[in-house]
Amino acid sequence: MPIRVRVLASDQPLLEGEADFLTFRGADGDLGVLPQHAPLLTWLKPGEVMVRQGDGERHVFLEGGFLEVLPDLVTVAAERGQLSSELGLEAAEEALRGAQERASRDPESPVAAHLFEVAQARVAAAQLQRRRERD
Amino acid sequence: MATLRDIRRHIRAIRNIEQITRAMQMVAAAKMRRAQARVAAGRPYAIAMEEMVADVAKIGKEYHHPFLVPREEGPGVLILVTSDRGLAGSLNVNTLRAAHSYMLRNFGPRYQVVVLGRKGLEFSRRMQLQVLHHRVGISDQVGPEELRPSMEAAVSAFLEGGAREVVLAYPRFRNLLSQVPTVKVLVPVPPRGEAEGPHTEGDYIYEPDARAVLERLMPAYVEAEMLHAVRELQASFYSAQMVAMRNASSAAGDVIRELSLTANKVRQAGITRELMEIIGGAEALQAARR
Repeated sequence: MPIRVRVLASDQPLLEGEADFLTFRGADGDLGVLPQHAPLLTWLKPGEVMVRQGDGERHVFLEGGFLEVLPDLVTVAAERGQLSSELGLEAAEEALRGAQERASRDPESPVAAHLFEVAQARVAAAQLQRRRERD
Repeated sequence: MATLRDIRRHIRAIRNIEQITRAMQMVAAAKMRRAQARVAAGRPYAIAMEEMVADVAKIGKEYHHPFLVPREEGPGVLILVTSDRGLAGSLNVNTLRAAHSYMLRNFGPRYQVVVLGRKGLEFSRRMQLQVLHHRVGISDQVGPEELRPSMEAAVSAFLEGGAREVVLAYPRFRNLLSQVPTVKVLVPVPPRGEAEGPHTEGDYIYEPDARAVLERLMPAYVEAEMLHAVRELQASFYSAQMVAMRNASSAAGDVIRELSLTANKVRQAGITRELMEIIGGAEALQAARR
């Protein structure tokens, strides 16, 4: 029996549907969830959430957020995120350069460090996406 | 009686006002459509955060975050979400009235406020409330970062300031004609009924651990609620403003019609009088010749 999954960003719902399996970057490392998983609550590191249903996989990039697993529902809520297919490698790399500059200008700032981490994750996700599109 | 010139001047003045209200109506209508789309797109996230926190309140046992523990004492904190500008009918007044009466009932007249929007700030000063934080000039494309200082002020009023309750007040956008003043308790997280929420045996698995997750989740929940309230306000504000300006435009139209009628009557009376004078003069001349 598949699980219901909803992935929501603060400005738009990103994905809603059923899944046989999903993976994400939890606080303690990458995790996978199958149906009948025990309740789980974690924050997310910036990165991709993958939702598999049948033969299809969908990928969403999130800048952080929270994930809750309940017996019949997985909720993923993040302030910001977008479908990986909409990332664009060039835009992600551009953003990374900006974030890098800011972090080197202000090495003490936790905000700049966080933005840098997010930008790195976005580039990684965009690269993965490009590889998937090639295959 | 007013002279024709006075009436015409009056008509011109009102026509100018009508042009302004009509322009404002169009601008508000355009902004309203965008704000409405934003509020609809953001609603699922706000609801999800609310549900997540309510789930934790129900099944989480490992760590009782302060947001989950009811308090007996302490001041009340009101997060007041209002617009910067007026010309939107009774929108802000309704919200302020609903919020104020709730706070008065539960905390007396000297409660604390975190204020978003100029209208709320003016109200708080007038009522001599204790303003912990205020913010005006929030953009229409508001994002979570923009509200962070305001959220932190509200959260720390509860965690460090010993507040008993954090309450959020805003006008909820229902449709163009209806904006509902909404007052809801954010903290402590209101408990849900037995039937609602998840039915599971035992607690969550927390990563990295219960305390760390909840210490992040709880402020994020308050922020999500505030962000959504601001979007609700914006959609409500532009709707109310559009309706107010439409009413103003049509009222101006009515006045102009009435004044035009009066102006025509006055003009007609003037013409009649002049004719009478001419005829009278002519008859007097003829009488003199005979």
